[in-house]
This record gives sequence, C-alpha cells and structure tokens, in this order.
Amino acid sequence: MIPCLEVGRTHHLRPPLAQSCGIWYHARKYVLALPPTDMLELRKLLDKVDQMSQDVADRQQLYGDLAQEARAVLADTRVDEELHAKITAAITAESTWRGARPLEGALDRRINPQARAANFSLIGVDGSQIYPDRHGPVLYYLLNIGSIVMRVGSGQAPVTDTRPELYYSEADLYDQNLNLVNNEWVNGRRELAEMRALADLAQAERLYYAGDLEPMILAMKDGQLTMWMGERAQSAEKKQQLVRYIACLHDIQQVGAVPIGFVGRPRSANVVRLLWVARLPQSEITRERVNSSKYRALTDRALFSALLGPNQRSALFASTGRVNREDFAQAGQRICFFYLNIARSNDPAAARIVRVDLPEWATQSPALIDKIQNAIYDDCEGTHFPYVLVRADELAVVSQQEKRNLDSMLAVSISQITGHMPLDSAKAMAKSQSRHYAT
Amino acid sequence: MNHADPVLGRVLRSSTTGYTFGFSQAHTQPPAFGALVKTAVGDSHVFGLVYDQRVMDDALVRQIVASSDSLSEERIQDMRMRRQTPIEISVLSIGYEQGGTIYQLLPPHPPDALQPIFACTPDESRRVLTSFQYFRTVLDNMECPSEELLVASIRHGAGCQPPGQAQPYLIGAGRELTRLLAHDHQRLDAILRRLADFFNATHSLPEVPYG
Repeated sequence: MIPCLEVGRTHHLRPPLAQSCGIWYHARKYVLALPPTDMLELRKLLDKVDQMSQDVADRQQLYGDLAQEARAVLADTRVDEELHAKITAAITAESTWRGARPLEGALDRRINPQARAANFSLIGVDGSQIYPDRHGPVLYYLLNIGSIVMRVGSGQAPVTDTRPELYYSEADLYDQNLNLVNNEWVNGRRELAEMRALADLAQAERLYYAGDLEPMILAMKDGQLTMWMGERAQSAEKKQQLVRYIACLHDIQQVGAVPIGFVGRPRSANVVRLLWVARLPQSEITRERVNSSKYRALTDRALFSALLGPNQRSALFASTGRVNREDFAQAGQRICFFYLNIARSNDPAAARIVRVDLPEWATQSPALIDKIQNAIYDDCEGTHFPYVLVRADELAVVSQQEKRNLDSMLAVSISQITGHMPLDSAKAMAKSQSRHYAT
Repeated sequence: MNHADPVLGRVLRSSTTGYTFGFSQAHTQPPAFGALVKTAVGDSHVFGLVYDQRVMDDALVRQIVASSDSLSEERIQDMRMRRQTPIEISVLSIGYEQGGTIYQLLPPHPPDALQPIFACTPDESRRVLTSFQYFRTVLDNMECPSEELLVASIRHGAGCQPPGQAQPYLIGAGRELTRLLAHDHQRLDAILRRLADFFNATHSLPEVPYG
C-alpha cells in the first residue's frame, strides 16, 4: 500500500462506493500515525478535506437546480431576430463575450444521425513538448507530433508516424524582445505543428484515394479547433502564427477533408452565456449585466447531460469569441460546434458529453454531419475517447525518462566537441537529490 | 553473421544459462518454440533454443477488450503491428562456436544488452544439433519445459538432416535419451512417446523453415 493513498475518511462515503473504488478507508488515527517525514503531511489536511467534500456536495445540489432552470430557458428560447439582436448587442457591450450564436432553428434540438459512411479515413494527431529548462544542461525545446491514419472499413493496419523537432537556435529560443520563450509560446508552436501535420496527412490521404473526393476524410485533433493562443494574440509573431494556422484549415478544405476538434471534457459555457443574455431585456444588455450571469458556475456539459441520449447531438452553434468571429470568419473558416453524448447507456447519470468543433463550411450538408457524428461515436467505442486520439497521444508523449535520455545524449555530444560536459544548475541538482525519496 | 539477415530482436536481459530478447519484426512470425537462434558474444557465436514466448498486455489493450463487444480489424491490426506491445522471447543457451568449433557447453559470457538476435539457417542448425550433448543442459534446466523443448529441438534437428538421415538421427537421439534417463523411466517414456509419431512420419518430412 502506498501511504499517500491511505487517507482516513469519515462516514461521508457510502461503503459500496468505497468498495467499488478498491480503496480501504481506515480510521483517522491511521493517517495520524503516518510518519512525519512525508513530504505532503496529509494529517494537516484532514479537516479541510472534510470541509471541501461537504462544500462540493452542497454546490452539486445548487448547480443541479440551476442547470434545471437553464434547461427550461433552453427549451423556451426561440431562435429569431430578437435573439440574434441580443447576441449582437452583447458582443457590442462586451467585445470579449464568448457566448454562442445558434445556427439552427431551435436551441434544444436533439438529433439522431441517419447517414453513416462505410469506408472513410480517420486521421488523429496530437503533440507533446519539452519546455525550455533554464536549469537543464542545455537550452532547447522539443515538439513531438504523433499521428495515426485509420482507413475504416479497409481491414488494413493504420499508418502511424512521429515527427520530433528540436529547437535550439537563438531565433527559436528568444522572442523579438530577447526574452526566453515561455511555455505558452511553445504551446502555440505545438498547436500550429499539429494543424500542419493534419493538413499534410489529409493531403496525402486524398492522394491515396487518387484524388477521388467521394471517400470522407476526417482530420481530428484533441482540443478546440480555434487556436487557443489566438484569443490573446497581440504581437505580430502571434498574429502570423494565427494566419498560418488558418491556412492549414484552408489546405484541409482544399482536399475535401474536414478538420475536427474533439474536446473530451468541455468546460466551455458558450450556450449557458447565451441563455443568460436571452433572458435579459434588450435594454439591459450592458457590459455589467452580460458579465454577471446567474449561471456562471454552469458549463454547457451540465446543460446537455440530461438532454442528450446516447449518440444524440445538440443543435449547431458558433462561438462569439473575437478570434472566431473576426480572424476565422473573415478567412471563411468560422468554427462551429455541437455537443454529443458518446455514452453507450441510456442512464442520464452515465452521460458523457463531448464537444465537436468543425468549420461552418462543413455543416452545410446534414448528411455529412451525420456521418461525422457516427464516425466519432464509433471511434469512441471501448475507449470513451476517439481511438485515433488515444493512439496519437501515445505516439506523441515524451516521458520524463525520455527527456533525461535526450539531455544525456545532448550533453555527451556537446562534450565530445567542446571538451566540457554541460551540467544542470546547482538548484536542479539539489532538488533532484532532495526529491529522490519522494519519487 | 551476415548483417543482411533480418534481426529478430535485441537482448533485454541475459545470464550465463540464457537470455530474453524483445521480438521486433512487425511483419513476420516470431521464431517457433524449440527453434535455434544465435547471437554474437565477443568473437564467438552463442546458440540457444527458444523455450518461452510472452505477449505482454497493457492497460489500453485490456480496456478495449473488456469494454468492446466487437473489435474492428483496423484496431486489431494496429494493436498487433503498430503498437509497441512487446513480445518477449526467452532462450536457453546450449552452446557456442569459437574458432570454427562448436562446443555444446554453456557460453563463457552471456550476450550484452541490445545485442541483435538472428535465426539459424538449416545448415547451422544441422551443425549445432548434430551432437546430443546439449540434452543434459535442457533436461537439467528447471525454468523451461524441458521435455517439450527437447522434443521440439530433436524434431527440428531431424528436419535439418540430409535426405535419408532423419531416421538415423532420431534413433541416435533416442539412444542418448535412454542413456541419460535410464533411472527416470517416466520422463524417458514421455519424451519418446512424443517423438514416436514424428519418427513414423520421417519419410515425408517437410522442409525446415528458415528460423
């Protein structure tokens, strides 16, 4: 037994839950008997854990009531010129308002897909990174993009690949102000590399079909389809990255493929924000009122979990975020989304609500959306997440051991040329030694 | 060793009596139980018999198998051919070749980690398995299924003999077994019974596959 998991609990948890978790819950005195040399002294958190558990339970009750109220608003709100006018007013009042603009006639639509593609290609891409480490022996960062191409219905083994890239030049490591690039910057480059890989694979896959546009090709990435970094793109460099990102979407469109963003546990609240604005009289849509939503603690997932059955999708929406309604929309790549329940059970408590992002141009054909929905739902069989993204992540992930191996390889290679072995900083070495027992 | 020969895998761990290697060929079958494989140790070659093959599972395989009513062929192919699900193959060292002479003794040194493993050609198998001294090594090893392994290697050795020599080979093997297991009739009987059908069919021996 690992001591850190041996947490003394009170009677809050029901025995079947405790048993189903496979964790033995002992009396508080066991935790109090833990050796005092543990790095995280759990005994000091016992009371807080109890308080937090009660708070979570209380909030769950409150959110449940709010969600029920919000679902009633969802059902009662009509999609008409008045609603669209309110949305426009909200954007005018608060330019950063990330609500949703409905693209269909009813907000509470539940759609069962009809069409299903027999043979198609499903591409999954994911990326991983090693961030610049000021205390490491050598300054660099790494991106590793994993990809898999499944030809569904073919019986063939999929095509897998990894693309590791090492960035070490001064132009790679420092921005225009000569500051070392930060993690957010590296994340942006990774996003762009993922999208570039999707575009390249989509093009290659269309060549596999000898240019025949009939077979469906879905190019899926983990996470939203809009570039996250783009929301705060201020510098010219970041703007340029956004332009290149959108160009990849265009390249995918050119070969008749569809880019998909899959968000497995969405915390977005675009539709919830829409409902709040929908409730407001037109005259009260001010910045202050828009930002004081009664439903601010809710997520869209909570809204749709009781609404969508297995393999049912919601209506289509478009985020009103600035980057989507300006940069993406102006380039003809406005991103829409729908929510989908990928659960296999009819039990509402077992609902698994995910969010699927796709460009608006791909939503013109209801049959295509049906095929996309079915393809995603089927690919989540057994893994509760698209199989192609599970595998792409597996191909992309860089473990701590692999990072250490790369650091060693670099240090040895450099020492063979320079005659000096680069070392970690004193701080890194001291931490490594002091944390030995914790790991 | 011809470096153009396909590498079956590389040593993961080793000892004086044998080693385990990870099988890395995506498009071929791993070597069969009782097959003879070889690897280099210094300036000599060590020969061994394959006695165990393990296909390791992992959390993703277990999850998919447990929660899916049906598996697509694409996923099965992905699991088998693309994922790094390791196949570990254990080998019992039975001899080594040094200076052109084959010694059916435990090798002086085990192979190093990551040393490549190759399949033995039929000619190599015939040369190595001509002598029956390795029988004692197999019979005395507690980690391998020694009776089954001996039967498999004798069959393999017989299949490598020139035309018309398979039965004399088997007769010679049987005599050696009788000598070694004179005081263990049960064990001797178990092995000879397994060889009997093969002995009777030696007039139509199939060609021994490479590896």
